[in-house]
Amino acid sequence: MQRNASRLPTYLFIVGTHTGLIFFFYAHATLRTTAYAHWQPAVVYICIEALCLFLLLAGLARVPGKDFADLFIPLGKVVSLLLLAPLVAYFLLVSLMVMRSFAELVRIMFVANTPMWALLALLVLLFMFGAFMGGDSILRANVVFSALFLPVLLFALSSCFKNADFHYLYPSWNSSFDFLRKQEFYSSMFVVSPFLVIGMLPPLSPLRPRGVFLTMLPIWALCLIALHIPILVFGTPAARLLVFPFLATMDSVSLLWLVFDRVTLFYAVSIMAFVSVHASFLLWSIGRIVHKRFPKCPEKPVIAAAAVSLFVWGLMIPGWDWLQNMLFWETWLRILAVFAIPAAVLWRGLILSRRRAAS
Amino acid sequence: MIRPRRLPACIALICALTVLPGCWDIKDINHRVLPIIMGISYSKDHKYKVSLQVPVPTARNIRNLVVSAEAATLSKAISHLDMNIESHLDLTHMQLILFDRKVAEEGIQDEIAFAMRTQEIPMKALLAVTNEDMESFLRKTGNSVVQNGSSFMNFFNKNAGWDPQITLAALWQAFETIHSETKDIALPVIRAGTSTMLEFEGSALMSRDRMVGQIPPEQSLLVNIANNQIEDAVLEVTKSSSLLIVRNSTRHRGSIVDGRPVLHTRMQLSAIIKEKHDDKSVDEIASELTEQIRSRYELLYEKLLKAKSDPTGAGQHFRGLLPYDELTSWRERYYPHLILKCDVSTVIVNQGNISSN
Repeated sequence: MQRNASRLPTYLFIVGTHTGLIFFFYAHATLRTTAYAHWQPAVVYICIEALCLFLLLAGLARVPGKDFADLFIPLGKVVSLLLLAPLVAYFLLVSLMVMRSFAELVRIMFVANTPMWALLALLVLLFMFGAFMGGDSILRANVVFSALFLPVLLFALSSCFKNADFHYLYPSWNSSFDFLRKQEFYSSMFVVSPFLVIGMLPPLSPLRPRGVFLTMLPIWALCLIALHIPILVFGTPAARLLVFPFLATMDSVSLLWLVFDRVTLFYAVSIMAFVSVHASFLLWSIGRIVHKRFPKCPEKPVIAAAAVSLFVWGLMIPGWDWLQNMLFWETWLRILAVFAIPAAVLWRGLILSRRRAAS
Repeated sequence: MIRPRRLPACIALICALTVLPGCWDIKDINHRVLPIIMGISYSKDHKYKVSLQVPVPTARNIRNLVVSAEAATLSKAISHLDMNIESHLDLTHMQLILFDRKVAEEGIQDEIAFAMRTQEIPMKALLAVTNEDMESFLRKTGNSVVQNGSSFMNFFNKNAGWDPQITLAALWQAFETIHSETKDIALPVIRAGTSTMLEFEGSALMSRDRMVGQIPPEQSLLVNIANNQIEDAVLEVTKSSSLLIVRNSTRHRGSIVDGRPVLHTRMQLSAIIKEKHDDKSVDEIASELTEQIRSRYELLYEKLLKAKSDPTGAGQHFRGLLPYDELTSWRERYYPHLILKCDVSTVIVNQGNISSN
């Protein structure tokens, strides 16, 4: 094993994939779950992610160097297909969501008249290019992106506190927990899903569960901050009306001494980098899993096919509201992917390690 | 020679070239006009009249252009203007959205929503109210823009010509306070000046989205003091002296006593003596200022409570004290019955170069 290989790229990659989603979706997804005291659903999300991540890591740690496909394929044709097909479908859906929403963001913010196909083509080509380069390259590219864009994002983030009114933290306790009964809460659960990519990492780089959890701590803190910044600036009722609350918050910052008029520009470019890393890795994972399950299918055509389907699918979504509806329809898939897959990994990990101990 | 293995990547990169240059429907800068002030008023025939002040650069100078259009909706009026102007109308550099007083009194929720919804108008654009005829205002102020391209910016710029009396209200703040349960905003009321570009008449008190009253500049200074907005020194004249307030820190604390909200406000002012007429001691001068600010602040609050307008954000301090359902009726049920307990203290920092007249 590459004991001395630096684990930094892996940890940065986990940060990167989360960053793309946190700064992009997290605030809106969580804000729509309830009317006030939004830290409650946020903390529940964090607990869910921590629990599932714990299951996943506990499973992966018992069988070093194996990813989802390696763990599930020995189960037989039907069972492995039952487990891997939803996973692949889910990866595809997440990339679709991310891609389509980013295109919508670019359209709302910068180029209102540019046709959707041009934006989607650019994004799909970028993702496909990344996926063709392979997981290793994506990890390395992410190191560069992190060095370039994380400081920028953190600067943009801290500049938002200029307008913050901390009284909006109150009322801070909602004893009804009404978000648990709302479907929005479950459809917004995709914000916890980036941890699933960790299951594809072991063949690329060794994982240490403790290190992963330590990486997650700042990410979770960032989740809470990213959620609360629009609340502090706009107040809860106004923040709930915004489609991209985080973006709007950045737009409100007036820094006269800054060379550029709009902090938003930094934000969009940085988000684009992390979104690309995330989506490219998902596409590559799809290629990897399909190839391992059906060795006759080579990786690259699978990736290309997935990219084309992303493009077509993305074009078929007529507007923003459909995107939100799609989130409702695929709730069951998400719950399956987020809960069942880590549980299955733990179960496989336990069986395989016991078998190895017996032999 | 390109190795076959690299071929797909190369093709992908070349394809990307078609979209990367960004030459889609971009209009060059010389084909755009960038209005800096948008005036919204009502008209007789149609609902809205939108007037734009557009600085047009000519060979040597800036020419000022004022255009207006009337239509049933704001976007219709703007697209009408766009049609008639020879270049593309680009609102991304809008600095100020000016409301006619009547529009402000009717409520500006829809207008603010329009400005927030469109991606073009920046959220940090400032808002103001005027009593004057919109077109003549824009024409008059335009002349000083011709002389000094940034004169308008400087009026509201904290690093330039801004004065502590002037209330600042950005588009995003109006959006925030229209929807907030416990906070309002004050918009500056301006008119075209005779010798200067703009004159500040006072602040428009807003209750949610409606203008419900107006306060003079001395009182809007107090609003800024209460919001800790003073970043500059401000001169205050008392009976026997002129004092420069150099630092101010205001803290508010809310409490509920017998079902009535009580707001404790503590202002700490630091001042420098500029002029002195009678032979009064430093302590006497300090207590004069203290008394003056306190009585004026109490007077302001009487006005605010009557108007149900809360530009100092008093309601914010009760967010943690009231349950959420009560909070939504804060403006009607609690705010008019608020009791103000104001405590001002003044420290005289120094007396300048001499200690006595």
